Amino acid sequence: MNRIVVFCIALVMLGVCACSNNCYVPTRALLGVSFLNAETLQPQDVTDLVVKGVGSDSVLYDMPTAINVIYLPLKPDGSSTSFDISFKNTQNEELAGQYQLTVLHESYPQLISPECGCVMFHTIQGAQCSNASQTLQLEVYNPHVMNVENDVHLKIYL
Amino acid sequence: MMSTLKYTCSLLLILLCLPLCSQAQNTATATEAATVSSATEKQGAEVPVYQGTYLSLDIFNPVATIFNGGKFETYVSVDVSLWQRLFPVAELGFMAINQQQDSYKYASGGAFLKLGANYNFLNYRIDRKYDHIFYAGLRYACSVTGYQLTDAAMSDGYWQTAGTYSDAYRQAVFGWMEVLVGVRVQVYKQFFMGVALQVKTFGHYYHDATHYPTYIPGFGVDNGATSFGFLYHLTYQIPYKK
Repeated sequence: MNRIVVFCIALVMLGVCACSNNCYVPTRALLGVSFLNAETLQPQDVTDLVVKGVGSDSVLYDMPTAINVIYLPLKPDGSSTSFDISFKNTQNEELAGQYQLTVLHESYPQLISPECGCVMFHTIQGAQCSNASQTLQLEVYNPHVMNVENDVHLKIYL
Repeated sequence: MMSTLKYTCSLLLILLCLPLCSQAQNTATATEAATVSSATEKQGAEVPVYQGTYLSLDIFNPVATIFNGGKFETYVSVDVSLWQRLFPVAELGFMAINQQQDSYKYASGGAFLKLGANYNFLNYRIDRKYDHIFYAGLRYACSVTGYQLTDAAMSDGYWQTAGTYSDAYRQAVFGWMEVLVGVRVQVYKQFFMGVALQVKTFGHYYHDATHYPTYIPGFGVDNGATSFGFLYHLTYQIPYKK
């Protein structure tokens, strides 16, 4: 009888130990955009980068220093998200200026875990970075925008 | 004359008894030798191939249901003892989830199948008193699940949006490898109790999955990394002629 009681207590304790109330994974899904040199295919730094979402008043990036990758939030509802981007290209001055990056995407909710909650994931269906006079060369490198930190999805060649 | 005859008969009787005594002694010695030899022979005898069939029932996961928010999972397994060394095993289980939270509703159900074998490192002699084993095992597992997330409440601080979102019903087929180490102890006659630690790795989908289930039957939460598990089961050994 004592063995049965000890066995039941151990079993309940193991069941309790199986639970965890902490979240250990990222809970945001951001679009990673990297700038590359069109000739060398190496990361290309840009300076004086300013990025703002079309329809929002907040600035996402205002970087006077060099940077070659940025992470942008896509709209949780709707099928497209646009950003106003301006920068100075240290290698090719002709490409410096203001552009609008438009991303076509399908959004769907994903339950990460009960502890982490839900995050909106996206599947990129198309993208374009252009202004009135020119369109930058762009590649959809990874169409799945999930809760992976420092993941690159679009590559813009300068 | 008569005395001589008595002595002669006595001598003859003694002479006749000597072989009988010797035979008896030889018989006793032979009996002891036979006993020792039998034991030695038994120890050195090969273990027959078939050493029993075991039916196991998971009891850890059903108890854990009380604490893990509406996820019910269990399995049954059957393994056969070959030479008390090798134990081919098949495991069949299922999972059902119906989580009704304020921030989301998640429903899922599915089944899994695991095939593999365990290798016993001790207590495999033919003269063993109990059938305890300490083993390491390998499995390949496959799981099929259907799932749906609805009424997921989310807000975005940058875009200043808030609302509830739902996804369509989806299905997924997932496979993985398992390595496990465990013990199974004979507690009473044909009843055993077993525990084991699992390492689940090399997870892969059978299709180009752009959508992923949160819970995978038999595997747990797929976060892209190696997963660990714990088994606790009761086992019944089908009686067999030893």
